[in-house]
Amino acid sequence: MRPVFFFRHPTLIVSLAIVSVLALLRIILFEYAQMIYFVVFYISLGLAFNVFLGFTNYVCFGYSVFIALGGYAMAHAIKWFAGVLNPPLVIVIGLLLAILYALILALITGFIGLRLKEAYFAIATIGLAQGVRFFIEGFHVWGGSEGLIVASNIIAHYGSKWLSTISIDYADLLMFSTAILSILITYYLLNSRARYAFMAIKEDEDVARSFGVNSVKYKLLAFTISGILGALLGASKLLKDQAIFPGEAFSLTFTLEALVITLVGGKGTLMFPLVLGILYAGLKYFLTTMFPGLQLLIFAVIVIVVVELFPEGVAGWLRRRYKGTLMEKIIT
Amino acid sequence: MNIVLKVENVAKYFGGIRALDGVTLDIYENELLAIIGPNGAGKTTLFNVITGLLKPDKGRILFLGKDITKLPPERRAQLGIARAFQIPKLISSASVIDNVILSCLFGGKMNLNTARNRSLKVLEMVGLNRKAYETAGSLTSPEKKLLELARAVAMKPRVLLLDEIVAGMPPVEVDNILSLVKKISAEEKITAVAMVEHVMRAVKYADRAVFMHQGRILLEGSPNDLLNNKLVRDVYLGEIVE
Amino acid sequence: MEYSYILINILSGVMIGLLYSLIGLSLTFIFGVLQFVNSAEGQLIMIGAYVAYWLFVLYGLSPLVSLLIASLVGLVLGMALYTTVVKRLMGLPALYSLSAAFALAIFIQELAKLLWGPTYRGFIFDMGSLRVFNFYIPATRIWGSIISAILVFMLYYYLYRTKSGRVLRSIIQNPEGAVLTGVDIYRYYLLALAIGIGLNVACGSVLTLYVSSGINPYMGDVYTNLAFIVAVLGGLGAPEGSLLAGLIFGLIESLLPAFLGNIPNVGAYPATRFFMFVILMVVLLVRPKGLMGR
Repeated sequence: MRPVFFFRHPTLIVSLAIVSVLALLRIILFEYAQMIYFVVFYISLGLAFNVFLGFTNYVCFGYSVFIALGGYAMAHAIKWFAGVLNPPLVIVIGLLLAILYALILALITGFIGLRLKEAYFAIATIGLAQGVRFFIEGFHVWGGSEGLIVASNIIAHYGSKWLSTISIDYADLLMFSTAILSILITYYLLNSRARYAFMAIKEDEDVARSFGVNSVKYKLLAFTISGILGALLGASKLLKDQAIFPGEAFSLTFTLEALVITLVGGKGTLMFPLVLGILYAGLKYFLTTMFPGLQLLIFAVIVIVVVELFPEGVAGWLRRRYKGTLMEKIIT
Repeated sequence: MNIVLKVENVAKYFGGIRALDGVTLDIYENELLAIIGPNGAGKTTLFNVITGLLKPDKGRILFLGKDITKLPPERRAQLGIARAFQIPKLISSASVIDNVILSCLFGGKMNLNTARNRSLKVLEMVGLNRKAYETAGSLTSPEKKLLELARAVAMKPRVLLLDEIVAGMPPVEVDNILSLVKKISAEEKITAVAMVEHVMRAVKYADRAVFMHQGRILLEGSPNDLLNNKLVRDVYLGEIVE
Repeated sequence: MEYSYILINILSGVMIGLLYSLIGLSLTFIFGVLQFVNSAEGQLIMIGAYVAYWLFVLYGLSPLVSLLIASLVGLVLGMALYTTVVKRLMGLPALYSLSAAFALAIFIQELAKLLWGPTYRGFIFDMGSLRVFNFYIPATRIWGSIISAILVFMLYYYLYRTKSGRVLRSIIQNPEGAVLTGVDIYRYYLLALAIGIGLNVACGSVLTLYVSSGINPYMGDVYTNLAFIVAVLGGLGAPEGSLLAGLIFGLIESLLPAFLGNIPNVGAYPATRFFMFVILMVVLLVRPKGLMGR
């Protein structure tokens, strides 16, 4: 049964294997926990962003809004329930809130924007992250421009030992779970009947609709899932950072990074955002130490070059080279 | 005779251009209707309005007695209005059979297994079953038209709208395809077929024909009557392909 | 609230609105012809502002002169952008040109930071002021409005009264039709992007006539968002709509902080920018075509 299962679902097995190896490394090589967290973060970012970009060819430029909402959700859970419930339960509530906030925003934004063409949607979403940020800062809600810091709440109610447990162990656990969830969801979408709908929508939306595909429903589905995964990412990030500030949380940098990962890797595939997530984390670390201040510039150039010369990314190039072999099946 | 599809006084304007200028047309049960007219007469626009890709500025569309004017294209497809496009809009990177499966899954609301079986059956009907697993992009032009037909038929439609299905084909092929259309319509119990055509040979297969010009339906009658009509021949000025 | 205060705000709104019309016009014109969303508009405005700054600080040139040089810079940049980036992206799925524009914006921003540092820059260029009621309007602002209006009308004149302008308009309305009439569409794409970006960078210099401080590499985002709202409100791809949309928006932006400032515990600046975003969403929800869109 085992070998057959592998050959029927090679992508899934390989992806999960990669994440498992990382998890193992995280447990064994404890000193590298921070770096491994960094890597898994980017794997999740790439996969979560790819659920929308890869399946619909729409870009949500304000993607950081979901990551930020997830962070705020977790911060709210901690601020409201710390001391009332024990930490794991508080974290679960934070996750549920993150899903709720992302769901609401995705449905509203999606309803307005996804009935329109890509250009209009892009315009709507570029302003989205900033829009929410200015609401928070302008009306002084959710901590306003000073943001929220939860470290003090945790120490006050649970003691400083819990602080490190949450910030190190729970954050990492959550991040790994988000990565695995992203892999499973992406894989499911690639192999269910939804796959046909997305294929048709990307090719020509009018024609897809003429053959019965409710394109808005599918676009909304991908957008909402992508947003929720982003929020889960953000929730785990809050557990790690212990604070969230609107100035940085809503920045467009995450979108640029996600674009690098998915476009260079190969949008719409499973393996490549994952692999690129790993490589990206490495590249970013390298650039931060060697050429601080130049990362964004370099990443911007990479996106432009990829879009011009290799739109299908590494996945596309490899797919052509290994056409017809098992390797091709893995690269999906 | 029952009316399957009713176009009621439909108008569509693009800025100053009157693409459809008050079109009223009834499509009856069990008929093969030909819609002829010069380029720019509004034939494809009419199809676009019927299938829902365009919203009319005036008028209504009724399908089996029900007003579908406000329904989106996907709902109309699910109700049973299928369309084959003039220039086949296939998913070129996907396989031939995947293109048909798509139509079954969504327009035909079938599950994956049923869709696969039906797709193979329909591909066999049009003669493309040997190429089922090739990429749609690798097909020849006539084959792409057949695939377009297969997609439309696969979703078990009540009404089939064919937009210039035999354009550019030699007479033998024209006969083959029109016979195929008639055969499939009978087997699949497709209630009515409307086709937009330039090719006179194809028009002669129809039960009834209407002549469109400048967004209006000017004449209606049997194909032979229309093709021999002086006005029709004047307007066409040789655009009709014998 | 005194009437003269409201009137001054209205006047101020119209004056800045003319600049906003120009900003929106650049975006909508480029989109209309090339189907390219110029997300780097704000950053190009930043370039225009820096041009005015450096020419003033180094050579004492007034912004009125700098804007001519800025236009030329923009013209050249536009041609360069077309041949290197935009040309190859035409006809590909929208996501590629959208991503490229987004990346370009960040690239220009970071490059500016690298070349000129993140510090805020400004200069003082005084041309006196005009007294209206009890308020003084700087003459530079008056000049800014006049020039914005002139540039807007120049583009309208070009599009409606010249042969090549009419070709561009026909491309906006029906690209396939235009090709069928035998037009070398690629030359017109190049022309349109050159003009559009030229206008775009010029906006930055004109901007310094209104506000000549706060020039920094990251100033662009506000203007990109502004361009989007004005363009969508007027009708994306419909240059006719930009004038009205810009004026409406200028008025809203002038009058809103006064109201918002009165609500306790509300920061007028971020709240105004939030409302800008809400307006965009409402337009997209209710009438995405905008005022004059097809």
